[in-house]
Amino acid sequence: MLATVTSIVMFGLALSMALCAYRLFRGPAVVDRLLAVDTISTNLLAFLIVLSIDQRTDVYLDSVIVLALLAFVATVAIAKALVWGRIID
Amino acid sequence: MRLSLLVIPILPMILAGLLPSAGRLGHRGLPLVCGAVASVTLLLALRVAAPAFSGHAVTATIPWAPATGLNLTFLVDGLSLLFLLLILGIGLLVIAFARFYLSPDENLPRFYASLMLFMAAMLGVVTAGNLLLLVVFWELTSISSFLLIGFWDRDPAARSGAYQSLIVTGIGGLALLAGVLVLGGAAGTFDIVALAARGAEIRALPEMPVALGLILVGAFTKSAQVPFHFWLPSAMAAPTPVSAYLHSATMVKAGIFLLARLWTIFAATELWFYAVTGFGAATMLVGGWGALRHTDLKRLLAYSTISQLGLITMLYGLGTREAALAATFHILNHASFKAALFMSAGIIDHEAGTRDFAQLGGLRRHLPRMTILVGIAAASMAGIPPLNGFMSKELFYEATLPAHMADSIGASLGASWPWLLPVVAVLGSTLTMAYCLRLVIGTFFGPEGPYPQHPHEPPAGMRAPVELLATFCVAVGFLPGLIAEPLIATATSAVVGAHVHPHLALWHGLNPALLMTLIGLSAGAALYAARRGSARRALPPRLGRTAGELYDVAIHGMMDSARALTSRYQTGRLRTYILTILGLLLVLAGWHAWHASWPGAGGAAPLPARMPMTAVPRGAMVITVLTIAGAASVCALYRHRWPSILALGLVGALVAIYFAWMSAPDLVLTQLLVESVTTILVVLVLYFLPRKTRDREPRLRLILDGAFALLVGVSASAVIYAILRRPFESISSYHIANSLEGAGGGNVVNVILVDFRGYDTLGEITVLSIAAIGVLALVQAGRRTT
Repeated sequence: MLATVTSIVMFGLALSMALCAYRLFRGPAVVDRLLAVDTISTNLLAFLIVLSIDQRTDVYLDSVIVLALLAFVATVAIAKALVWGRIID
Repeated sequence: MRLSLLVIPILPMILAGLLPSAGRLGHRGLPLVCGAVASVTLLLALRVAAPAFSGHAVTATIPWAPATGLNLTFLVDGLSLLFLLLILGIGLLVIAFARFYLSPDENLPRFYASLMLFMAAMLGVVTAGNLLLLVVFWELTSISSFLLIGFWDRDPAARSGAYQSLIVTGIGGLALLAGVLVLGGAAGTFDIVALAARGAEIRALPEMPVALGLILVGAFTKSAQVPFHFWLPSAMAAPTPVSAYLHSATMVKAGIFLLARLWTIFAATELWFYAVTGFGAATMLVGGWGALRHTDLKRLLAYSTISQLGLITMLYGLGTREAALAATFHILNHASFKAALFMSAGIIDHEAGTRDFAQLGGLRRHLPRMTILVGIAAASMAGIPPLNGFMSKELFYEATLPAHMADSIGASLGASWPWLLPVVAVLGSTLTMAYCLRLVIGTFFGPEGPYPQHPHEPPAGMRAPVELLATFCVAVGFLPGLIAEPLIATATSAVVGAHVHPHLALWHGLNPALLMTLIGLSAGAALYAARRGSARRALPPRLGRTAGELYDVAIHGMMDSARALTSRYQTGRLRTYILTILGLLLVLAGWHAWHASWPGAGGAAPLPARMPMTAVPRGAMVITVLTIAGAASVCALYRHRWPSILALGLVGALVAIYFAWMSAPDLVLTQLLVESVTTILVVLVLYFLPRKTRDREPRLRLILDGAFALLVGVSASAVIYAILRRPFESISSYHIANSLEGAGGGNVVNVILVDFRGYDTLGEITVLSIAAIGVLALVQAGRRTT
C-alpha cells in the first residue's frame, strides 16, 4: 500500500518538475526562469524525502537539508545579481 | 654508541634555522654568533671523535626507516676527522673573512643562515654512516650552494651560475642516488661499515659496474671533473667568502670524499682504475690549460681548483696505498693554499676594485704584505720547496712511477707504458707552475695597471685568515711530522682500511721524484715566459664546443621545444580541450569494445539477479531523464547567459536524482553541494565578464559538435551498462576488514584517503600547494603594481 502511494507521489513530483522545466524553456523573462528553477529545487526536495520513506532509510536526509539551505541561497544570489548586477557589496 | 655524534651536523643546522630572524644582531653580531657555534661544534667534535685519532671509528645509530634501510647512522673515523677539521677550521676563517668583506647593508642574516646550513650539510656528508643518509646531505649541500651562489640575486650572472650549478650537481645527485640504490639493493645493506667489510663480495656482484658508474657520475659532477667541470667557473659569481669556502675547500671535495670512502670497496677494480684515473688526469690537464686562458683572477683560481681536484682524483684512481696517501695529504694542503688564494683574490678585488689582469699589475708597491702571502700560497700550489705543496707533489710523482704501480690493478699499464703516468704528472705540474707564475707576476709585478680604486693594505682582520693559512703552509713544510703526519696517517689508514705509517719529510734524497719536480718547475717557467705577452689578454676560444656551450644548447633547446609544443595544444579554447580529452576517451573505449571485453557483446552474460540500483518507479525516472535532456539542450542552444546558467544548475540538481537511483547517497549530497556553490560562483564571476551574447556558430560546427556529444553520451551509457551487467563484487570488504587492524582507524573512508590511497592524497596536497603558491604570487604581484 505504501509502495503504491509513494510511486504515485514520486511520479507526480517528477511530472511537476517537467512542467516547471517547460516554464524554464519558455519563460519570457529571466525571473520566470528563476522561479522555475527554485520550484524544481523544492520538488526535488520532496522527491528525495518520499524516496527515503519508500526505501525506509535515512541516508538521503543529509542531502535534503543541504538542498534546502543552499537552493535558497542560490536563488537569492541570482535575484540580487539580476537587480544590481553584483552579489557582493 | 656515542649519540652525541649527532650534535655535529645538527648544531649548525639549528643555528641556520634561527638566523633569518636574528637580523638585529647586525653585521658584527652575526659572524660572532656563527663563529661561536662553529667553535663549539669543533670542540665537541674533537672531544667526541677522540678515539678516531688512534684509529678506532666512532659510530652512532638511530633507526629511522629500517624497512627501507635508511637509518640515522653516523660514523667518525680518520677520514671524517680530517674533513671535520677542514670544514670547521676553514669555516671559522671564512666567517671571520666575511665579517670584513661583506658590506653591512647586504642581506646578512640570509647569508649566514645559508652558510651555516651548508656547513651542517657538509658535516652531515662526512659523518654519515649510511649511504642513503649521505645522499640526503649531499643534496642539501647542492641546495645551500645554490642559495649562496645566487646570493647577489640582482646580478644575472649570479642567477645563471647558481642555476647551472644546481642543475649539474642535481643531475649528479640523482645519478648518485640511483647508484647507491643499486649497490644497496644488490648488497642488502646501505651501512658503510658493513659494506666496507664485504668489499670482495661486492666487487663480484654483477650489478657492480652499473652502481659504480652511476656513483662516479655523482662524484664527478660534484667535484667538477671533466666533462662536468663547467659549472665551477660560472659559480665564481658568488661572493668571495663563498668561493673560498665552498668552491675550493669543502663542497667540491665532497665528490673526492665519496671516492675516498668507497676506496676500500672499489679501488681494486679495473673500472675504477681506468675511469677515475682517466677522468682525473684529463681534468688536471684541461683545468691547467684553462687557467692560462682567462684574465679574471677568480676564474684562473677556479680552473686551478678544477686542475688540482683532477690531480687528487687521479691519485685515488691509481689504487695504491702510496697514491691514497698522496691524495689525502694533498686534500689538506690544497684546502689551505686555495682558500688563502681565494681570500687574497677577494682582498685584491676589495682594495683595487678589479679582478682583471688587464687592470692589475705592480700591486707589490701598494700591497707588500699581500704579495708575500700570495707568493707563499702560490708557491705551495706550484710545488716549490720547502712548502707543504711540494711534499704532496713529490708523493704524487712517486705514486706514478712504475715501481710503485706494481701492486695496483693498472700494473699492466705500468708495464707496457711506464712513462705515461709520470709524463702526465709532469705535464700537469708544468701547467700549474705556469699559471702560478701568471697569477703572482701578473698581479703584483710589472707595470701598474689602471686601478679603478687606489689600493691600500686591507684591515688586519681581513688579512688575518690569509696569514694563518700561509703560516700553516710554511709550518707543515718545515715540521710535517709534528703537525700533519698524525692526522694524515689516521686519515689514510681509514681510506685504505689498514694501518699506514707515512714518513713525511722535505728531503727524501735524490730520487726520480725530485728530478720530475725540477723538470716540472723549469718547464712551467719556460711556458710562462713563452706566453708572457698574452698574460694580459685572453686566448681566443678553442675550436669545437666546450661542455659549457653544450649545456647552454641543451637547456635552451629543451625550453624552446617545450614552449613550442605547449603552444601547439594549449590554445586557450575550451572546445579544443574537451574535444581532445573526450576524443581520447572515446578511442580508448572503442578499442576495448573492439577487443570484446564487453560482457554483453560476445558472450551472453545474463543480467545479474540483483542489480545495485534503488527501486525508483520507472515512470518517475523516465520523466526525470527527459527533463535533464531538455535542460541540457537549453543550456547548449540558448545564446543568452541567464537561461544557460539556470538550465545548467537545473541539470546538476536533477543528476542528483540519478545518483539516488544508482544507490549512491554520498554522491547525492556532494552533487547538490557542488551544484549550488558553483552556480553562486558563476553568478559572481559573471559580473566581471563582458556583457555580450555568444556569437552564432556556423551550422556545420554545431552539427559536428552535436554528433560528437551524442557519441560520447552513448559510449558513457554503454560503459555503465556493461559494468552493471558484470557480477558485482564490492571492494569494500577488503577495506573494512583491514581498516582497523592494518591502518589503525575506524572510519573507513578517512582511512582510504590517508592510508590505502595515501600517495593519491599526497599528489592532491602537492597540487593544492602549488596552486596556493601561484595565487600568492599573483596577489603579491597585483599588490606591487597598484
